[in-house]
Order: sequence, then C-alpha cells, then structure tokens
Amino acid sequence: MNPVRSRGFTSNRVNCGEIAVAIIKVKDNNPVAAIQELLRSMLSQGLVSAVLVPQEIPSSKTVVQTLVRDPAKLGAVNPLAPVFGVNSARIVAKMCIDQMVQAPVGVDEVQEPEQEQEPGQEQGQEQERQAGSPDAEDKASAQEEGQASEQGQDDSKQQGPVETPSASEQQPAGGDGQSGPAPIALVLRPCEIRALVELVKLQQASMDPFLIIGVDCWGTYSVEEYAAKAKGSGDSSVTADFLKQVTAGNLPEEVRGACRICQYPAPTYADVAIQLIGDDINQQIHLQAQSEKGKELFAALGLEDTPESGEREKALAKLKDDKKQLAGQDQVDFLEIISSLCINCHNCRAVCPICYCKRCVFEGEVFKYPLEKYLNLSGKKGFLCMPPDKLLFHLTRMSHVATSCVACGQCEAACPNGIPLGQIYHKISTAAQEALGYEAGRSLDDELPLTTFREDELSVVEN
Amino acid sequence: MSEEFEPKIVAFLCNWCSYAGADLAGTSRMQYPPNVRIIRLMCSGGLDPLYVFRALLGGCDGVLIGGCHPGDCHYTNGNYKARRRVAVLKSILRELGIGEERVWLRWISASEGGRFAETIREIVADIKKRGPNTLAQSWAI
Repeated sequence: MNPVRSRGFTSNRVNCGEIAVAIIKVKDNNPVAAIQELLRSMLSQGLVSAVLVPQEIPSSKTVVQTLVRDPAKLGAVNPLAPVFGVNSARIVAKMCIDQMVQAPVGVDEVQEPEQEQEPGQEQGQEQERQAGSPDAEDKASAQEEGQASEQGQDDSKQQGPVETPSASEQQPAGGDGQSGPAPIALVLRPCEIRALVELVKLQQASMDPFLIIGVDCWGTYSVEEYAAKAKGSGDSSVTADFLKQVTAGNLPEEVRGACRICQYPAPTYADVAIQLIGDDINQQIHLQAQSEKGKELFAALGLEDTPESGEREKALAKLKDDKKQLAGQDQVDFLEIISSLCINCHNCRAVCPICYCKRCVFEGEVFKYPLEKYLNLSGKKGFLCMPPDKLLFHLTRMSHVATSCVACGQCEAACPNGIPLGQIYHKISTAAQEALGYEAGRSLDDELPLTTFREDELSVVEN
Repeated sequence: MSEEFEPKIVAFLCNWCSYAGADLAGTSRMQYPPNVRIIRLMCSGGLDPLYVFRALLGGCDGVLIGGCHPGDCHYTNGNYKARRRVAVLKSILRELGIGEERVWLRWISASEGGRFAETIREIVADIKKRGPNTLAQSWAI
C-alpha cells in the first residue's frame, strides 16, 4: 500500500532495537573543533566519501553549505554556527536527482541544449541513464549506488549546487572501488532532516546514498543578523557567544521567529545524532546512533557505548516548554498583512523545501490574464489590489504544503518585506496536520496524509 | 436592506454521482433555488483547494463540493481523499478566520435528486442568514 516503499527507493535504514550512545571529548572548550575532528576521522578512514556541512567563509563573514571530500579542508567547518541560509533538504534533493527510479524528465530537457558541443558520448549517457533506471529498482543497492554516484559527480559539475574541492574532483566517487562507495555524510539540522523525510516520501529525494548526521539546534539568526554580528567579532566568536547564552538557558532575542517557537530542537530521524542540549559541551558531546548505519559507524570509529545522561531529557523538555510559551504570542491579521506587504514575488515558494513542483500552477496560462480581465476584476469593487492573486497564491500554497510543512521558516527569511510567514505557516500546518493525525518529518513509515485515508474518519468536515 | 440578498453558490460536483443527482433533480422538475452555478469534475478527488479559494475570493458566497457516498466512488476512493483535502482546506480557513462555514462537503448519489435539491435549499438558506461573503471586498483581493 505504501506508494513510497513499493517504488523501492526509501532509505534502507533499520531502526536499531537499543539505542547506542557514545561520548567524544572536547578539548580547549571548543566543541566545534571536536565535531571537525569526528568528521575528519570519518573522512580519512573512508567511512564516508564526502561530507555536506556548513563552512565559514572568512571574507564574507557567513556560513554556507559545502560538500567536502578532502579531510584537510574541514578546518573552517562549523555546523554549530547559528545561521540557516538554506534548508539543505533542497540541496540533498538536487544531489540525488539521478537516484530516483524515474529520472525527472524536465532536468534532461533543460540540459540538452547546453551539451551540443560534446554530442555522441553525452547523449549516449543520457539514454543509458534513462534506460538503466527501471532496472536499478531490481539490482542490488550496491550496484545502484555505484552507477549512480558516478553520475552524481557528473551532475554536481554541471549544475554546481554545492561546492566541490577541486583537488579531489578527478578521483572516482568512493575511491576504493570495493563494495560500492561509502555514503556521503550530511550534517543537518532537525528541520532539515524532517524536510528531507517529507521529500523522500514525496519521491523527490532518497536517503540511500547518505549517512545523516543530525545536530541539536537551539535556533538560528537570520543571515543579515548573523552577518552583522560576525562583522564585529568574527564567525567563531558569534558561535561561541551563542552557545554560551543558550547553554545557560537564554535564547537570544534576535533568534528567528520560526526558531523561537520550534518544537524540534533534537534530531529524531538521523543515523547519528550529535547531542548538545543538556551536555557540558565544553567538556564532552554525546553521540547517539539512531539507526543500524549509525551503529556500524560507531563500531568502525571504535566508539564505546556509554550510558545516556539523564540531564538531556530534562533540558530538552525545558527548552521545548520555553518555546511553547512564545508560540502564538503575536497575533497577525493575515489579510491585512498580505494585502499591504506581499508583492507576489514567490520567493517563499522558491526557498520552500516542500514546494517541489517542476512548474507551479501560478506560472501557468490560467494566471496570465488578458487586459480585459484586469478591467473586469477591478470593476468588481471599483479597484483591484495589484499585482492580483496575492491572497490566492498564499492560500493555495498553504493548502498544498500544509501537510508536509516542517515550519523551518525559510519562507519568512526569503520574504523581501518581512511577512511573518514562519509564524503563519507554523499555525496552519499544525492545524492541518492535527486534523489528519499526521506529523511531518516524523518517520518514513507514516504514509503521506493526502494519499491515504480511513473509511471512518473526518465526518466532522461533512455537511 | 430593501432588496433581498441572493447568494451565489458554486457547486463542484463529481461526474458520476452528484452531477447525475443534479441532473435527476432537473429532469424530475424538482424546485430548488436558482442561486447555484454547477461545475462538473470527473471526481471529487480531483478538486484542488485552489478552485475553492478562487471561488471564495472571486466573490461567491458559498461553495458546495459534491461527491459519491463513501464506498461508492467510481474511482474506488477519490471521495475519501477529497474529504482529507477538504479537512486541510477547512483547517486553513478556520485558522485564518475566513469563511470556513461557507464551504460544504456533501455526498449525493446519482439517484438522490431530492437530496441535491434539498442541499441547495439548505445552503441558500444558511448563506442568506450569514450574509454576503465579505472576503471578496477585502483590500487583499
């Protein structure tokens, strides 16, 4: 029944019976360096073939996602920087575009004209990819990954959604050529993992080629806010200052609206969770294996099983409780706000990890009006708020994404006029998901709520 | 209000049941208010919430979504999925406080001409009580 599973590209993750917990030591009061060291040993031992992780760019005083293959290039990596420029689930979906059973047609069509200069070979590859795709369903996953990751590298060169260190570009993915390439580690925030879970269920991404490393998240600043803080003091001190405040139980005022009310500070569907909340992170960091893949990694790294500290549960509960108090504090008049601030730029749609349609209905012919229609519309009540269909766009987008929205607040960050979309989407997605008894991003095993049903339900919506 | 308010109702009816039910009401010469504009869908499951929003923002005072009775869907389960979609749609309208009560979902079979006529009478009476849809008059539209 599950449409995702029957297509054969869900994660091969198996939830482990008992949860394994390990500790890594922190030196010089620097938890970021400890995480760098962890990633470095994973990469240099070949346990992962690359790491997708945020990295500081000193010149521009910000942090961006990078795909790192060279262990020596992990020095500026900082997954604890409190800034969130893009929901990486979008990046991941783009990375595994050829991992899906059916390669999206649109992408090939767009690329074909660019490849005119190098005909024969490239076209052959395209055909091979399309022909090979249905077979891949039945093949052993190792073969599938091997075939796929070569193409994956191909794609990343053409599209360049993520940076690849030039030194390692010549090497084939995986390097050793043994039983398929090692997975690519993704260092993600809880809301990014939850968005990725939804994208996998929506058949837009796959978790198979990846090892997901979730990191606890207290919240993030907007990119502007972070840049302003970093301008004065530098990246690492912004992070250190932020960590000092949140571990003392104070959430800085400037944290983004969506993060201030977020109920998911801890990763729940990772392979390995880096647990910071409730720990003295200047001394040690707890790691939790949340899947068999994670447990295998622990074994390979020689990490010893340690008992979980009771402090974490208490600290998490308090953090969630504090944030719950902040939810719904500011009431917004939605109609007023949309009519006065929205300019119909559709930025919110462009950055949303859940809005995945190749072509949005609002880009279609239906919404291209002849001049006469504008006159008709403005004649209805004497004037027409321009550009038209602002409210219709937002209501429709809401109804399309509400059941999978993870309230990451990227829509708010992208809005040029600061519409508090994070808060609005938090509200409507909570309501929609409650109505259908669904929780976005919780698990791959929950079926998408709009593709399934129960016979005896929701009689309350019937008239 | 010297002139009586005559609501405009848009009805999205599925081809196999509700539309045939409306047809039966007509061929049986049943009387019902002429306030309804019918749009035929192949299945209530083919209803994008966009249609309903567009009707409401375009100035219609009520929306009826008609489908086959549970278990009777021509496409096995489209009406169950429509019900879920309407649940999402209504929860959005409720949270934003804009006209959840103007959207009706009702199952009407091909043999229920009387039920269709009765439904339209009910909606028109209900919407007349509520008054015109002010949403279309808002600045945002």
